[in-house]
Formats: sequence, structure tokens, C-alpha cells
Amino acid sequence: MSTDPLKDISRETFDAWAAHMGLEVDAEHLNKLYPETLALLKRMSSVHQVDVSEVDPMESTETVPREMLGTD
Amino acid sequence: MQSNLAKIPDLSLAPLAQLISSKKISPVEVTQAYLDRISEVEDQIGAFITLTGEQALKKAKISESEIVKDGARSPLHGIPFATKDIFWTKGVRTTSGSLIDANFVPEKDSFAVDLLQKAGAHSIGKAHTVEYAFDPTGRNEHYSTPHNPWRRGHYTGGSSSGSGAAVAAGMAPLALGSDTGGSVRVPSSFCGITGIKPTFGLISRSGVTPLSWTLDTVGPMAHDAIDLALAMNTLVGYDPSDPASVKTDPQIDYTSRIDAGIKGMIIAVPESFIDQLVDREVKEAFDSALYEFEQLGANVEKVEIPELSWGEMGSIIISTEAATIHRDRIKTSASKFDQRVRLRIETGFFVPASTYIKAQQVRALLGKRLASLYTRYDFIAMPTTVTTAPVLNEPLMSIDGKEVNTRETVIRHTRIFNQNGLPAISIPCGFSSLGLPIGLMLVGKAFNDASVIRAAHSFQLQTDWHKERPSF
Repeated sequence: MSTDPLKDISRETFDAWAAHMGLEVDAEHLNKLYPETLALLKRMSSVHQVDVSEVDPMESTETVPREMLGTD
Repeated sequence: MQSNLAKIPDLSLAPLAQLISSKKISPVEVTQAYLDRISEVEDQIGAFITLTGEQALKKAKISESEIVKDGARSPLHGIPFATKDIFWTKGVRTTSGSLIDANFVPEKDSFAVDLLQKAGAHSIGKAHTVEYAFDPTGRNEHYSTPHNPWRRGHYTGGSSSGSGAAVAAGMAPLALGSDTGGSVRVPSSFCGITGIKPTFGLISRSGVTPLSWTLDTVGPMAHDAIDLALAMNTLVGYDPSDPASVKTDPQIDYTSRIDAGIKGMIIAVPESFIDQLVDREVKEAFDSALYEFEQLGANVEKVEIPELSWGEMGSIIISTEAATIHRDRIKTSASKFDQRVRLRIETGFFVPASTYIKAQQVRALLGKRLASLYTRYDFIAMPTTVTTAPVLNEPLMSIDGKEVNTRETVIRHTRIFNQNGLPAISIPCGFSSLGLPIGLMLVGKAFNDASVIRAAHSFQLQTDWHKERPSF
């Protein structure tokens, strides 16, 4: 299991990253974007806690599970 | 051709189609009746961003001539429909609920609209949508937020907000919606109509403004399950321009076994997950509906599905893909976005590729676990939404004393089933003490859409919830 590399992103790092990606770096806007992003990062942590060892990486491109293919 | 125009908008699609094909009423009368209803109630509801009444009447006249001369070429011939304003329509502006695309006039129709038109149906207008379909409540800061036809001041649900409101209010017998986390099923539930998110890949998304290529699904919305079967017969088809489109061979007739019943089928109910957060009246209506299914000969069993708690992981996929899709818009026109939608999109810029891929693997794992479950069960049943339609513009709501985030809560049950592409239908199953509709969701095996529709139809033969109409 891997861990989330961005879990503890600081505000400074966040601001620099936002600028690097070409987002508007107006402080008022970033004040709103930062907590929203932290909330998403928290969800990322729960993703990284799931053991996916039984999934072949190739299977992650299938939207409908191949085991369920069949028709009425 | 004589008819009582006032009653037409309260009919569902199937009897309407029969009246048209038997030449008892004309497509012109039908279209005019819906336009009259729109004139009467649109001020109260706000279901449409752009109305195309004149064009609809012109097409209805053509259909009338065709039917008189050669008969109806499909059950949808002469039927008006509402088109969610993310479906491209040739020569008619397609705003996607945004200011940025406020003047976008496509040069071609989306594949789904084209199929409906080839079957003889015609669009009556572009129905409201949340900006770029990225919110499940129905809120739109640019074009106003539609009101729930059952109780003004409450949400319709979204993002197919206008589609849900238009069908419920009798402004169209059929509407096109799209569903990335619940956007067909939530408004269907909140507005007391029937809507299906078909198996991923069955209906082409070509010419539909995307939000998430992994999760976006096109689905029809109407009054009842037979209506959806008729729509699916037209809408399902292979389209090489949508990479996710699948070939179904032979073409399935979704009406052919609709009366076969559901005796002996097994319905799984993840009760402990449902009970974690559900409005009391919703749960009571849901339990009564399960009793009806048992009366129909189905077996209802309680199950544990711990993976249902993975639903919020889908937001990582949506945000990342939405950030990719809207990257240029964000960089050039950020201030024109509804700021709430903008923030949701921009968070996707911060998701590392490794996390996105991991989320996709989790999605695949979910599919495997559900596939295992479906070796025993035919359907999963849940309340479509844990609550009835919330009050407009309230970011928080209370469910049995618990304060929760409105936006996250309305998709608690629906979003997980976008991650595995399974067919899921929402059917009306009751009303709250405030007179707001309650919906039940049935989720079937992949490509067993006909079974899902059949189960919904069996329920609707036993109940009258889908026959109720709001008053104005």
C-alpha cells in the first residue's frame, strides 16, 4: 500500500503549485481553493488505503466489470 | 383529429404514442398542448434555458403529414422531448449551463438527439442544467435554479434539473439527461418521475459536453418504465465516435419481456449502509416498496456491502477529468464560472497521476466485488436519495437531527454506481408529509437494463405513485 504524497501540503507549497499550473493566484481566491483542495486530498488518503493487489492495472481501464458481461 | 388538449400534458409517453400512431390526435395538437403548459407554468418552475417552440411546431407539422401518409415510423414519431442543455443541437445554442458557452451554437446534433429525431421525435427546448453538469442539487447561478414542481422553493435535483422538472410538470413527456454521479436519478427521485442510468456504453455520449469520460452516462427520463423502454429502443446503438460505445447484437427490444414479472428474483438490500443516514419518511416509503416487491414474488434479502462507502472516491476521478476537460476554460475565463463549480474543477489540478490511477484501480476492485455479489442477486435496492428535495440554496441540511452537507448527501446512494457502469433506475415510491416525492433505486447487472426496466414496470403495475401529477 502506498501513502498519499500530498497529505500535508502546506499553504506555501499550495500557492506555489497553483501558480505553476497557471491558476489565478489572487489571494482571496486561493483562500477558498486551499480548503477545498485539502478536502480532496483527504479523500485521496482513503483511496491510498485500499488494497488493490487483486486488480490488474490493465483492468482499471474497464468501466463495466468484465465478470458481469452478459445480456438479458 | 379531436382531443382534449388540456389533458395531454398529464399523459405518459406510451399512451400518447398510441394516440398519435392511431391518428386519434396529431403531433401538432400534442406539441401545442405542451407549449401551452409551458406558457402556463414555466414562470413558476424555470425548467428551460432556451425554448424552441416554433421549430417544434414546424417539425410536428412534418410528422403529422408523414403519419397521415405512411403511419408512424416509431412509437416516438410526433413526440416532443426536452433536451438537457449539454446535448448539442444543430443551430440551437447549447450553453451547458455556463456563461462561457452562452453563445455556442453547434453545427451538428448530439448522437442521442439525432437518434430521437430520426425516430420522428422533436425537441421542444433546451432544459436547465447545472453549469457543465457539475453539481447534483440543480443550482445554477447564471440562469437561475429551477423550482421543484411539487413544492416551489425546493431543489429539483441535478444536474439534469430542467429535464426532471419538465417531465414532472407536464412540459414534455420525455427528456434527455446525463448522469455522472446521479444526475438522472436524483432529479427523477426529487421530481417524482422515472429515470434510468443505463449500462455504461449503451447510449452514445458523442456531442454531449463532457464532465468525466470515465463516468458520464446518457439516460432518458419520463413518467414510467414503459416510457423508458420505448426511449431505450431508440437511443441504444453503437456509435464509433464515442470510444466507450458498445455493440449490442442483436438489438435488444426493451419492451419485449416487460410484462414477464419478477417472481423468484432476489433483491439485495444493504440495510446497515442505508440506515447510517436516511430520512425517516424516505425509509418508511422504501420499506413499503420492498413489501410490494415481495408481493410480486421477489425475494428481498439484507446484505452487507462495505464497498458502498467508497462512493466519495469517485470525486477524485470526476475532479481530475473535469480539470483536464475544462483546463483551457479555467485558464482563460475563470471569472465567468460559478465560483463553486470553478473550485470543484480546480481541485482536480492538484491530483497526482498516481492517485488518479489508484482511484481507477479502486473502481475496478469495486466492480469485481459487485460482480461477485451479483452471482447470487438480481438487483440491489436502495432509496435513490436519502432525503426528499432540499430547500433551495441551503448548503447544509438536517436529516433526523444530523446536520449534513446538502451536495454530498443527495448523491450518497447514487454515485457509487457510476463507478461500475451498472444500470440503475429510479422509480417513484411515495411522498413525504410535505408532498415531496420519494424515489427507489434498483441497480442491475451490466447490460441487464431490460430486467431493471421490467422490475420497475412490475412495481408500477402494482402502485400508482408514478401516476401522480403536481398541481399548479
